[in-house]
Amino acid sequence: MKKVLLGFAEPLAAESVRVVLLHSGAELCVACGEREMIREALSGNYALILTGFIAPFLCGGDLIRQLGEQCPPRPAVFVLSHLRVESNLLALYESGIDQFISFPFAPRRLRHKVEEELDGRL
Amino acid sequence: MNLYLYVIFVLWVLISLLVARGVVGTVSKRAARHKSENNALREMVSSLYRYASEDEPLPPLRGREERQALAETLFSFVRHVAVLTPSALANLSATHSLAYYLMLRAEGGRAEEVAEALQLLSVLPLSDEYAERVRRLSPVDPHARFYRLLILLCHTPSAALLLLEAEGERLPLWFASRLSARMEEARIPMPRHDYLHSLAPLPPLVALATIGRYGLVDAEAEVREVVGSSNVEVRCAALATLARLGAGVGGRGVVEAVEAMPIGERRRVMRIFMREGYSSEALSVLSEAERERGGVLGDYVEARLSSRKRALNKVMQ
Repeated sequence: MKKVLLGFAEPLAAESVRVVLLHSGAELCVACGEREMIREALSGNYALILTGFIAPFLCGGDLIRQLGEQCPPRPAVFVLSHLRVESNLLALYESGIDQFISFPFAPRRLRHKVEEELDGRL
Repeated sequence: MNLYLYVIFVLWVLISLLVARGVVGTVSKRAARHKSENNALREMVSSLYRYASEDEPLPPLRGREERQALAETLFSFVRHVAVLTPSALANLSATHSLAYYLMLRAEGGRAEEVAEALQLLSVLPLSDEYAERVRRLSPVDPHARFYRLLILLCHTPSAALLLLEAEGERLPLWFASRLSARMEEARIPMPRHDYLHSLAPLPPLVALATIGRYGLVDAEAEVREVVGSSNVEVRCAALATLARLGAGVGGRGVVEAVEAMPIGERRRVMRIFMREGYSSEALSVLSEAERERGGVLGDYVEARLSSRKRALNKVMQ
């Protein structure tokens, strides 16, 4: 079973994403805290990371590069946030994230994107 | 003598053990309570999702704590998952008397309770009667005032400008940026021209926050018109927005507006431009105007910028 990591600051945000993906056929792990999410992402064998944290990808955080080096094949990273400012979104995409989904998300769309991503992986 | 010391030592060890046990017990009890609260909130999220997607009714709520948990969960859930329609939300609020419960807390609670109740109420659709009750509130806490205004804005979005002009007087102006973000989340229309030319300080500040956040360069001409506002916060916010847009300092209105400012405000404006990365060449118009006045602010700006440039050069080498 493929593993999906949910890393959010708010437990209720993590839970909202978890209930939507409950029947997606993946094993869901929750990390409530930035450090815990980074530690878990680098140590676990995840196929996909869904996170609300932005800082680990920007301003020298470079989590994507670390994931590429330490966890090949690199897990896909979807960022879910209330952020809407174009320059910040561009910076996130430039840092290497795969998808940006803004809150509030449509459950069907999120499930579809996640299933598509997981199906596309070996 | 030795016996006395021995007895005192044994007593001290016993007391330490008792204290340690008490502390550990309290911590573990608190952790257990926290865990059970988290579990309750998790179950509430699952119930809400099933209610929204499968029309499965929520289990009946027992008491005040469960109603509070539902209100808190709903506040977070609505902002994260777009699955509850306004009618479903209104139905949920009516079935479980959420608006009634929160309104009672907002009307009779302590300052922080009022702020929390109004925050939770801000995501619920309210009837005219409840909106009127919210309008009659006059909380002392600035956060409570912010959520009171937000509730009124969400209830009558068509009168948003009038509300901001009338009610904004009682809100600290540093809430403008937050208000702009929440108004955007609530999809409240914000006609830029009307907001920027309002005589009250809050509407132009809200519009400027939106323009700056999105870097709306097409609004530059309109922002320049606000630079000469009679309100100091609006003037400075307009100049900060121009700086964020990367607008030229020498253009219409800026030099005249800065010249009319007192020294403290001019210093603040210069700092805004320096922070946004303007060079001494780009700020030369303002520096020259300062020199003509006989002040030292122009020289200060050049010295700071060249010092920063030297530091950058060192790093790059």
